[in-house]
Amino acid sequence: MSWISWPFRLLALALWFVKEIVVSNVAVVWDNLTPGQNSTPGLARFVTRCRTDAEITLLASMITLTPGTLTVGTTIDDDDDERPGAKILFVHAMYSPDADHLREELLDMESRMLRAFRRRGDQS
Amino acid sequence: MTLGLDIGIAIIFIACLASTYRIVKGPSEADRVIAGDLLLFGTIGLIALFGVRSDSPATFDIVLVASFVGFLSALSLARILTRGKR
Amino acid sequence: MTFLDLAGTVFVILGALLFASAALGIIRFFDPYTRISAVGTAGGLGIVLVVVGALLMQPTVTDTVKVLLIIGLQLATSAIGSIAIARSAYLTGAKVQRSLYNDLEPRR
Repeated sequence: MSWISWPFRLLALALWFVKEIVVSNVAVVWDNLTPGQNSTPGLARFVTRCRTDAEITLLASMITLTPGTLTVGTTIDDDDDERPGAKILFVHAMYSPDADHLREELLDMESRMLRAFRRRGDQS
Repeated sequence: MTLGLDIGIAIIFIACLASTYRIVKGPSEADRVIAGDLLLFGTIGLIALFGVRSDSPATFDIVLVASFVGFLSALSLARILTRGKR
Repeated sequence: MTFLDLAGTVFVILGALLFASAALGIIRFFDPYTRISAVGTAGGLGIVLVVVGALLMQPTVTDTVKVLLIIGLQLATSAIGSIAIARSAYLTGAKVQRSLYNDLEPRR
């Protein structure tokens, strides 16, 4: 993708993110106001494709800003088999039935973020 | 017009009372820090509503500064939790 | 009462209700991590709604610029604060309770 569409991609990311914040707020508030708990909490390890500190900070902040998911910590895995030196997030989630489901959601958010944030839109 | 503001102030005040209860009661220190965070957000909301209600010209300046430096309290409380270790 | 006043009142009350929900959340939820999620609703969308509602009641151009700055700063700083608190809560040994999966602990 060319750099001409960069500002529009950032704007599209912002709009999508506003929608996402509202949807997840409604989910948390609904669970809170109805009696009983229907949350399925858990903590998953997520290998990101972020290269710079700015990208991983933005991704961690976006994960934390959507209520229900929360970044607990980051680390760098130098012994990873596929990608040595990959940046890793530990994410706590309330409404994902299992770790793989949560990782798929995070992968979607990460793809959108990288497509919008990188000027060329590359994702690897 | 001020009726809506009054209702908002009352609800946020009750929320602040609830977080004070969690600060006093809180089973662990982390719970107290989280309730303190909510108390900070409630204070920022109360500043905004009181400022608009009293027609103060500096309302949004104060809210701007409060939201800018407020997260320092969360950071320092988090540092206190870990006893200064990073 | 103009349309802007009405919209401002609705925004303020919605934001205040988010605060009430967050307060209920930190009383009802069961471990620090879910409580941080509950507070995140107030710290993110709650403050934004309250401040925008307050702006709509007396809209001026300079205040609009300030409110845009407030929204950006508030979203960025509340996220950083939440991450710092969650990290220190984990380091001080708060358990993830009722967890269905946990990649930070060895498998049982």
